[in-house]
This record gives sequence, structure tokens and C-alpha cells, in this order.
Amino acid sequence: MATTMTSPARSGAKTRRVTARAVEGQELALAGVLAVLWLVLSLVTDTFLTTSNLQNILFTVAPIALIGIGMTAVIVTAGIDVSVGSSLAVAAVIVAKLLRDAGVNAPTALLVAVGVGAVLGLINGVVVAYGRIHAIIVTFGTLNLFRFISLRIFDSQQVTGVPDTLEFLGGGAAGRTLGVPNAWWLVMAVGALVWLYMRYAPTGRHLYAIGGDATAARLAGVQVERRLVAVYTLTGVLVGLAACISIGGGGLVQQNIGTGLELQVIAAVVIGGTSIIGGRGTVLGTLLGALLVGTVTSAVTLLQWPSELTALFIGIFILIAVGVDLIRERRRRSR
Amino acid sequence: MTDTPILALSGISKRFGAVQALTDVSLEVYAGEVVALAGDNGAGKSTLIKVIAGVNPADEGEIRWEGRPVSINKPHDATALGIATVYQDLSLCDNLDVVANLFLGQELERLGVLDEIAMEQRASELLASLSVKIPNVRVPVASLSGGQRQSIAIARSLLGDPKVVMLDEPTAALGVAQTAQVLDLIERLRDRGLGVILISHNLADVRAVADRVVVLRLGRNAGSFRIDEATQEDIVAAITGASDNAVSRRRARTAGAAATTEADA
Repeated sequence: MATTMTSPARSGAKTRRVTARAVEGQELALAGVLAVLWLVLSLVTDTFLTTSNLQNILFTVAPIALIGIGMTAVIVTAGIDVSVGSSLAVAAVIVAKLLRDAGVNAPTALLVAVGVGAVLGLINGVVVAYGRIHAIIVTFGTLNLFRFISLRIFDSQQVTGVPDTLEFLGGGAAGRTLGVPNAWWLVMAVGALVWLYMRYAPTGRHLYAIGGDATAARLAGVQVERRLVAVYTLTGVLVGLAACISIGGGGLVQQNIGTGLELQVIAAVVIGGTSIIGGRGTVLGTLLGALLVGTVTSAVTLLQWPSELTALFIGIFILIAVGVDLIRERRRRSR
Repeated sequence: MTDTPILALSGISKRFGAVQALTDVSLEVYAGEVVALAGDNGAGKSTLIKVIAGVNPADEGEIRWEGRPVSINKPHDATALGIATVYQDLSLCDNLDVVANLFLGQELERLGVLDEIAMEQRASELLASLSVKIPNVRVPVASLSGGQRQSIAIARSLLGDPKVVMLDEPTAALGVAQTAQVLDLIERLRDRGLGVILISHNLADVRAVADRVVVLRLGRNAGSFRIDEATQEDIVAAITGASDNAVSRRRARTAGAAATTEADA
């Protein structure tokens, strides 16, 4: 069959764009779903298409999207990081206490948050890469370990009276530029960088190779361990930034901060078309996936539906996304 | 064929703990020649390949490259000399397209960015020069046939302009037509003046493309034949170590009934 299909008419005339992974079908489909949803919601409710509601969606979704950017890179390498919620708690409690008790300024707070996140991510990455233990086991362990550490630092008390040093990342008016939450600007800037990196940089391409077949990638000269350590550390850094967003305008930081966050992040990544078995996925898809999750949550509230419907809809979206992925994979294999 | 072999091994020994995997093995490969490495399971074929590839360096022995002694202690040494290895089943990422696989780990870049156009052009040229037929170099290799995948793995090994290519069981999992594709490709490597070391269990393949067969048995040289001078029986006898063995007894039993069909076996 192969030899009959090689006419230049087929390979030449219909040359695909030279770059393989431009905007994928799943991203277009997601954008379409989002557009339809927004259109319907703005017709059905008079509260959806308001500045404050859109600002609210973007701000709420920002930490999920931000961590999702790193999680996309991790899942593309056929890994996963379920410890992000606990890492966020560690970073948040440390920063909150520093802000309140030591009165540190914003740059120091950001630096500490990023540093703490990076160290926690590095731990995950080193154990996954060099310990050759499956990522879900490693990060499930650190999920509990990091939660323990955060609770120790909380010392049985929520942190109250956190000053508004980080309000430029918060949900209030001080946290917006041109009407858009700064947290969301951050998401878009980081997202663009990582998206470009994964698409155009040789080492970004290697992430996909590792997710496809780590042994083959290693034999081809890909530095598998280094790449793995890098993606988990990146995720940790983004967790640190997300912790600053969740502290935002200050006030209260509770012990259960970040609980269940990992599932929201993974949901956004999977809905965004990243294959859970690795080797395929884009940051753009993840951002769209996060927006979809945010939109659905907001819609359920605005329509005054029972809030458990949010879980139902997100569950359905995940099943559709995974189903599409599986069908695609099987079709590819059977060819 | 020149007088000096590109690659010449002599007195190679390798021990893993209590197991003497190779004893005093020698092997020569000339430019423009396909040398088949034959032997039963555990005969030391893979060990020898790993010695040459630098994955498991030899304990003793001499390796000469174009006449001068060299040492191969790590995979990079072998690659730097111009020895490429195509491993069985372990060489491609299914999710990446043909171009990405060909250039994996040695991507062409401009200003730190993947140069997709240059890679695609070179990929097409390379595949065309080897007469490898791929409908579209931008499809994931998962959608290609086993023969096409093996061809891509072999083509990739040529990107570093090697002088010797080692192929580990390149036809093991292939059907008849796909095997023929890969055998054609091996002949094209020879026509380009490369030295090819072919590991194969399949004596039909070996006889089809190899110029010489080097047989290993229990980690030692057990015979070396020019393919046009040796019979299948000679090779089998060398592989199994004796004329009195299960294979030849079975042949002898069936010979009376099927003496005529024996010739094309």
C-alpha cells in the first residue's frame, strides 16, 4: 500500500504546513465549544457577559491554568504530578507567614514562593528521573509529604491578617491591568513562552520524544533525565507563582489551601487534548481547557443550577476528551 | 574492496562475572561489504555488537579502524569513529513524525529554533537517495508499516555519515514484502561503500544479501564463509557446532523423502 501512495501529487501538492503541530483539531474544537458556550450564556443570562463576571472567571482560572502549563509539559513526557496542591500549600503558608511576620516586600515574597516551588518540583523531578519510579507513585508520596510539611508550618492555625503586599496579583481592582487580571496576563505570558519552547526548541521536541518512547529517545541522544527534572521543576516554579495569586490581596490563608487542586489542573490539561499516556498535547489546549472549566463553573452558578452539576459537566468533558484521544490512537494503530 | 578492512577486531574477550561471553573473537569488515554475524541464541552476537558500539567495552583484544588501533570505551567513541548501530525495536518514537524521528537528538536548528524546512528537505533527500518510499514525511511513524519503520531507523543511522553500520535483527518482525524492502535497502548501503554488519537469525536473509558470514558459537569464532562458496549445511553445522545435531539429524531423516526439495532450502 505504501508504494502506491507516493506520487508527488499526494506528498507534494497537499504539503501540510511544515511544522507538524500547528493548531490541532482538538484545540479548534475546544475553541468552538467555548465560543458556542459563551454565546449561549450571554443570550440566556444577562450576568454572564459582564466585565466583572469575565474578570472573575479569568482570575479564578488563573492558578489552574498557570500550573496547567507546567503539568502539560509533565504529562507530555508521560509523567504526572499530583503533588501540586500540596506544594502550593507549602509555598503559600511560607509566603503568608513571611508577609505577615517579617513584613517582606513583594519581590522577596515572589522569589521565596518561586524558590520553594522550584525545590519541591526538583525533588519530584529527581526522584522520577533518576529513581526510575513511576511519577504517579512518586508524586502521590510527595502529595502527602508536602501536605504534612505545610500543616507543620501552619502549626494548627490558619494564617490571618496577611497584608496586601501581593494585591497586584489578587482579584481586586489593584490586581488588574486594562481590565484584565494581572494573574491572567501572567498566564498568557508564561503560556506563550512554554508553548513556543515546546513547539520550536529542540529540547522542547525532546519532551514529546520522551513521552513517545523514552528508551528510543535515550538511544537517540536525548538527555531524558535532565528534561524530566526540568519539567517537574518548571511545574514547581509555576506552583509558587500560583501560590502568590491565591494569597493575592492578603487576609486569610487556610490549612486546606490547594486541596484537590491537582485534579482541577489535570482536568484542564486532559480536556485541552493532552494525551494522558504522553507524547501529545499543547499548552494552548490546556489554557482553553482551563477556560472551559471556568466557564462551566461560572455558568452553573449564574444559572442557579445545583453546584454538583459542575462536577457532572467537567466529568463529561474529561470522558469526551479521553475518548477522542483513544479513538484517535486506535485509528492510528489500525492503519 | 581495499586491502585494509575499515574495522578489524582481533582477540576480543569479554567476561560478565562468571560468564565468559566472548573468547578471542575476531571480525573484519571491509568497505562495500555486508558481513552477516550468525550464531545461536547466547552465541555472543549481541555482546560483540555491544563491544563495537561501545555499550559494553571489551576486556581484552585489539580494535583497528582503517588500520590504526583505536579504543572504544563508550558509545560516543564508536559514533565519533563512524560506527552507527540500529537496535532492534528500540529506535523510533511512534508519536513523532518521520522528520522528527530522523533528526531526533541531532536536530538542525537556526538561532536555537528547530529548522523544520531544512530538516524536511534533508529527510526527503535522504529517503529518496535510499529509495525508501514514504507517503508523507509528516505522518507519525506509528502509522507506517514495519518495513518502512525499519527503513527510517536505518536511514537515521546514516545522518552522521558513518562508514560502518550495524543492524541488529532488522527483519525479525517483518513480513515477506517488508523484508524484501529492508534487504534492498541493505544492498543500497553496500553500494554506497559502507561496511554493514548484519545480525540475523534468518539464514535466507543472510544468504540473500551478505557477502560473508561469520559464525559465533559459545562466544568463539566458529567459522567464516564466503556466501557463494558455502552451503546452508556448512553454516548450520558451524552454528550448531557439529554435523551430528538435531538439525542435521532431522535433515537426514527427511532427506530420503524430499531429496529434490533440499536444493532450494
